[in-house]
Amino acid sequence: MPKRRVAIYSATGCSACDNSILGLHYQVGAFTGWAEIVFWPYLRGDSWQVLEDDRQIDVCFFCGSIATEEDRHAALRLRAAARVLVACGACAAFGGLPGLVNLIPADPTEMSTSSQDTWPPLPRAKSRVSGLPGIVPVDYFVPGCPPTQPLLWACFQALVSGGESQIRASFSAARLPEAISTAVAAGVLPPHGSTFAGEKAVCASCCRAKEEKKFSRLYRGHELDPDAGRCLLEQGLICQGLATREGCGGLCTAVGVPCRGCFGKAEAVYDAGAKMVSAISSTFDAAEAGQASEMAARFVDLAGTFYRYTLAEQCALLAGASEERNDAIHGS
Amino acid sequence: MTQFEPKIVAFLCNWCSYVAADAAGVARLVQRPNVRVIRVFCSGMVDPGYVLKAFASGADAVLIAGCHPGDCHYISGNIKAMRRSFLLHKLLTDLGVEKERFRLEWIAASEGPRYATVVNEMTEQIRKLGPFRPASGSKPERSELTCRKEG
Amino acid sequence: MKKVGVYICHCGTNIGGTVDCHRIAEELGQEVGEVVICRDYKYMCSEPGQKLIRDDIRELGLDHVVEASCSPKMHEPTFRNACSAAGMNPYLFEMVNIREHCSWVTEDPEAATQKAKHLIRAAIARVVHQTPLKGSTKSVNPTAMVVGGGIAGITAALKIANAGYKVYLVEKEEIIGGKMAQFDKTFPTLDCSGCILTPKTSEVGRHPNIEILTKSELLEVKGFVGNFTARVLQKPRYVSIEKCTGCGDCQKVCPVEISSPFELGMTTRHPISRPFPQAIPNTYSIWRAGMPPCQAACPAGVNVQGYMTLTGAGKYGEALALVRERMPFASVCGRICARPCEDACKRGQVDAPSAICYTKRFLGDYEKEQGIDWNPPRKDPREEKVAVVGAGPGGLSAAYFLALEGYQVTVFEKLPVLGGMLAVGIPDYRLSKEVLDAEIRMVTDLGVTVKTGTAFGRDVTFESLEQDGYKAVFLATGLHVSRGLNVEGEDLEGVTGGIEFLRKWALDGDVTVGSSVVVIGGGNVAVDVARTAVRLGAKKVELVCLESREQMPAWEREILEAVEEGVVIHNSWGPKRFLESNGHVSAVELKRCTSVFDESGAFNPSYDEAEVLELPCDSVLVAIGQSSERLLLDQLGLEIAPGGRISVDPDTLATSRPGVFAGGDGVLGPATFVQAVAHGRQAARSIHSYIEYGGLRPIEAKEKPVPPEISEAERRRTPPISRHQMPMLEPEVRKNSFAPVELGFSEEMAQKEGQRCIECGICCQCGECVRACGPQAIDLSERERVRELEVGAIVVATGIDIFDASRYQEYGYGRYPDVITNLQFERLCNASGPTQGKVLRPSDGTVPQNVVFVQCVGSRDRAKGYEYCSKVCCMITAKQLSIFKHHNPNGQPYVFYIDNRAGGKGYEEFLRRAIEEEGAQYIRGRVAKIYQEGGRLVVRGENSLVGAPVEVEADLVVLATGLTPQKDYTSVSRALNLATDKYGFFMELHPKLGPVETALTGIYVAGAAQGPKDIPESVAQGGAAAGEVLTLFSVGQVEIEPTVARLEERLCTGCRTCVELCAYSAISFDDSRKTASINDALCQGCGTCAAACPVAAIRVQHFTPDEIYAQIEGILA
Repeated sequence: MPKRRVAIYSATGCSACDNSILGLHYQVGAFTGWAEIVFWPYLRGDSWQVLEDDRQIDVCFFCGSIATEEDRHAALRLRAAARVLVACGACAAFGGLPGLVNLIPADPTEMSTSSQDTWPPLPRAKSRVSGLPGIVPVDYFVPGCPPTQPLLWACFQALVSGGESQIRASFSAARLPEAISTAVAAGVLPPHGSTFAGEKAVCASCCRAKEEKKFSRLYRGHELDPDAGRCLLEQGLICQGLATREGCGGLCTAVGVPCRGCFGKAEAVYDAGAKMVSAISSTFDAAEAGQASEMAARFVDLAGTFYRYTLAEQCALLAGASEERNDAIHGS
Repeated sequence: MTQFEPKIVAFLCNWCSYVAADAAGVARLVQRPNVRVIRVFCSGMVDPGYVLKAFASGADAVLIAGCHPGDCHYISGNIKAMRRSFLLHKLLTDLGVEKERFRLEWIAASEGPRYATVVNEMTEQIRKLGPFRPASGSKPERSELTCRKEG
Repeated sequence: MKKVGVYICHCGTNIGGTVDCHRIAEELGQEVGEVVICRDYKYMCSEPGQKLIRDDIRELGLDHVVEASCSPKMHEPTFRNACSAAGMNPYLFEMVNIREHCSWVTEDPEAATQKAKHLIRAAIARVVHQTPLKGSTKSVNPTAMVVGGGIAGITAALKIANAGYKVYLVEKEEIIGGKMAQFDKTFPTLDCSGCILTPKTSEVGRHPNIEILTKSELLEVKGFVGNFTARVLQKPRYVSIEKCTGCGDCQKVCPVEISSPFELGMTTRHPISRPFPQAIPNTYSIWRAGMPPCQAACPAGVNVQGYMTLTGAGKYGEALALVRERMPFASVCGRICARPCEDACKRGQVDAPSAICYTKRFLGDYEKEQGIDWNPPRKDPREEKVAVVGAGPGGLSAAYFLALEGYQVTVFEKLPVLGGMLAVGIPDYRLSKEVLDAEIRMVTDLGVTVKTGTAFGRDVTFESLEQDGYKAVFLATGLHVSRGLNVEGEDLEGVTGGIEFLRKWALDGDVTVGSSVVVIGGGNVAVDVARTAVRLGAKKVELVCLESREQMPAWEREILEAVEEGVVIHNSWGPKRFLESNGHVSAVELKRCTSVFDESGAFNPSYDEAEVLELPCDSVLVAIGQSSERLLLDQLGLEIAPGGRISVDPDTLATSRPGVFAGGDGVLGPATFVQAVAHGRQAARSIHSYIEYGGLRPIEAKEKPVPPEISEAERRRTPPISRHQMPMLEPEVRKNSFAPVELGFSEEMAQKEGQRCIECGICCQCGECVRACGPQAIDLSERERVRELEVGAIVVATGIDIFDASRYQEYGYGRYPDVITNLQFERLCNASGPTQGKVLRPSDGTVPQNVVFVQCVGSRDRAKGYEYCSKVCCMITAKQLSIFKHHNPNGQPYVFYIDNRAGGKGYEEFLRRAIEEEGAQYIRGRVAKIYQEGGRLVVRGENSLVGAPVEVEADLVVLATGLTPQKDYTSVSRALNLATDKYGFFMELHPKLGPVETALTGIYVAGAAQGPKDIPESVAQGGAAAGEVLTLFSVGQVEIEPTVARLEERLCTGCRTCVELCAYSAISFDDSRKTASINDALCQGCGTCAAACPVAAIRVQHFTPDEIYAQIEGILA
């Protein structure tokens, strides 16, 4: 059985995703055993010529958000070339941090003109950033900023190994939705559109003890050195683990850093911001309107906090910022 | 051009405010046709998500009405609604929804007239404010965006 | 593909007149895919209308139905039934309100039509997401609880019980009957209240299905209709209902009299009594408020109120016996006790505390004078031997109580004398050897052997004692070494320890002090040392201490006496060094002490070394504290706590060595005499249980103390009486002799002091009744307990309270004895009342001629009272004036009224009779003022009919006080979480159609607890409530609405956000699964949890997000 032809591309982003893929360590051997990497500009400086011969690409891992014309073209081109397109990382999946630019009012068709007068010419930045699904249909998602190796590994096994993987019962499978882990185990493709992450929220895998949710005062990160082992939210820190898709295993909260939501909203949630607002404020320790408004007054930049990685694709009000989403081209 | 007719979604609690709306009807208190009622058991049942959903689906304003504090049929559901309203207001403002477009009111079953007044004055207020265009930041009118139904 | 049927109702012209129903029907019929049929019809709610729906469901196989017409509040049930009649699940039906919310309130028909269309579209969008739901059923526990034993509660209880179901009748008071039991006659028939009530109460009393819980209050109710669990706090009656024969012998001997609440303060009652002879339960009970502060404050827990009261009654022997139950040394204690009891005494908040200690001293001395012995009976001797080491107060008390228990006790004392510090630490002028020896002899006379001059460690050891067959040892070795100062020159000649000084003087009577003495220390020992030095002839005695005058630990009275005897006190100084002249101390150099305690409150003095003072002297006595002999401690081989104290289990005083117990100063550090005695008794009990049950002890529930602040009622019964002063020797006389300074109380003084007791505990537990009770029905050790009752339904009939008339100061209630409330008037007329049914003036017991009735006191008065009308007062007054006329035919009743409200069968006729036949003068107008002029009261008011002020002279004024909610209604409403109106009356479900139901199914309200009512109404409601309960019981199971919250466990992360939010505690956290879990029997479906759940794992059925989202989209489409 021929190796799967794999492309890995990073649009606007920090390339942490590429590094995360490299971070597979020993599994890289197995990976390259299944995959023929035909296009990985970040690692090998491949140029687009590589894709000139119109041989199909089996799996394309697309990292980074769509913030420039180039990004958009890359997205369209790779969509056309790839049988399976994977949005890899928070930027590609939800627009990521660059998506926060959408909070600034602007004309979506407008382009920054800075590129003319600088050298080397900067890419022409779109005034509205989107994630990959804002431009083209996406087959699979691997969330996270960056995605963790276990999840990437599960993804590779599912999409790249083509059933050749000898170690299907991957340690990461445990945290995946049943549908995916069974697919991985059976060596078949998981349901179209699946996300390679858990279906509960981070709280489920967070090691901190939850006692009573009663929110009496907000602390900003620098104001409080949280007690070890106690739920961060219950100590007054905004932790988005409540409504954020699990899969990371509570890495941040374990070391005392509140969850910032890089896995996007949890399975059944309509809008993460609304849910965070509801979950936190419902437990306000306030019987009078006065107290409640005082407590609310301490919160700043809710949009930037609750949609830090997801504004472009998951905020009920602002999502879908991209001008023309191209549904014409579709992966097989 | 014809004047702008705002669409206002009202979530009314089953025990106080919905009854008040009925009472207003029985008393034939004329109201603007702009408010469309969704009946819920309790104002505490209204998920802030519903409010965002309404705006995302093209509402120009949202009203939540429940029993007065202390009269809640479910003891304290309305208190939870009260607590949420403040933080929700902040989120909405961040997303470019003006304060006037979201309201939480206490309307007791006996306050039919008050319900009618709230409906009418809110309609007028939103008329002046103009249509809501989901966008971002402070100047929504500059945006050409059209909103998606699903998040 | 879903099949939806849409039906639009014209409601005649109500809707059709404004909304173009037909057009909407056509348009929607085409535009929406799922809609298979869309009809409009004149009257959908009519039978043909409903038939349309039923037939379509059957013929077209509809699976969802939308109905647009009036408010769902009106016809939702109708159409749901129609649907389910055709075999469709009623929850697949959705109703749209296009009448109240649309056609009736919209002027422009086009706008109305558009709005209607949007609303219907929304319903269609919603309905396709709706799923079939079915409520669950739970079985009902056919047991009822009736809260409140008034006439309403009694009626309900009897009806339920007669139907064959078990009933718990929970009553706050000691008897059932409620307010009705206090009435004399009832309107309008004038038949005797008691005569119609008592048959009912006695029926309740003997009913096999009814269990009465008197003196009981509801704490908390959990669960749901058919399955409640109620926790009830049952206060003790102290008299067994089974054993008591109601003979009343107990009442005769009870020394306490307290104003009677049942008689509204018009007479007194004994704490042990029975409100009236026919009361149910027909037995006596004891009214005890709790443990009085004096007893609570006493380390030994001596029943102070008890012996004070007995002394007041002249029963000195019984009093002393009561003291001895916990304190062997009455005389000694009476002389040297620290008196925490007197600090706590509530009379201190009025004038001065009772002279408890001196009274106790009198009792002890009285015994000796009479040469009688009032010790508790000694149990049969037993052969076990117990050793007590140390013959101080602790050791001797242990010996005393062990001896009474029957043990063979031996006391080992190192010193040649018995009494420990009492003998060698406290100078004669405070406690004479004779007194001490007498009481020690009392102990030894119980058969206690003493071995003086026997030192533990030297002459006896644990091992030797064990060999000699001692089963247990009590160590009470005390602290007999003065603590050192560690300052330069401490070892100079002439510097001695205070303890050693006192001991030497006490033992061999020869110590010499110089002419000018400096005593160092601020405690009682220091003062004793100083005063002893004075008596030994020192010219000049100066006392130096770190503390300021206020901080000095020595007792104020001791210090004063010392100063009287010429002792000079230097406060806030600490010794720096001792100066010498040829080896002998010549002066003390002092440094200023700036503070004694650090901010943590620990003893940590700081000094200003610069400021010094030099006191020349030729001897120094150091009394800055005591410690036990290091040597001894080391020999013990026991666990030692820091500070050189033997560490023991605080409950049992057991040391680290089995069978060895320790107490007194050796454990506590320098402590008081009474603490030592307390330890002695405690040790005796532990040793007994150690020997008897191998260390297991019966756990005794402690009695709750009464609140330390004096209450209004207590103030009222506490006229100031000045405290008797202790006769004392003149300073000049006493400073030259060791004769006792305090001379003691006379019998009369003691008795008077006893009578000053204000009986904070109400019952003083003196035990008189216990001794008098033939059938032995009384148990004073009873304690309150909590009972858990499993019941299926609850009837709340907690009744009403009476308005507090003193809130109308201008009426002088409480100031003028002859201004009374109408309830007090009832008692005056009542044959079993304070006057045996004669209507007499409370002030002088004469028969009143002019009686003025004042209406609406507290009712219909926004300013001072309540807005509402109390409903019964007009009739009560008409009744009372008729009764008054029957008692005194030529008396003249006047009535000041606002309106006469006589709605009710035969009421108006009765009122007219009162006016026409009884010749009462009804004056329409409010009373402005009631004041006293000469012997008579004058009622000034206005006659609003003639528009002129009137004044009426009165012998007696009766205030028609209104009915108010119970003062403690909140405790009940909280326990049940039952809503009340703004006054505190419980809310019925519906003012017209649900008079006895409440918002909480399974909980019903009856009688005046729901609002002012007269007897017939209360009875009717009692019956109605019983009816509701019986319906519930006969159905046997309850339907639980399906519109409750459901948890999707797949999604729940166990974040606990929802748990605290639920007002019904329906959500709990399942620790095994690490998820929430919802009890749908408790869930009311409010949806607060669903809205808050951050992962949308909780959904309220029939209000799920997808249903609501669809509706939102539809409504805005």
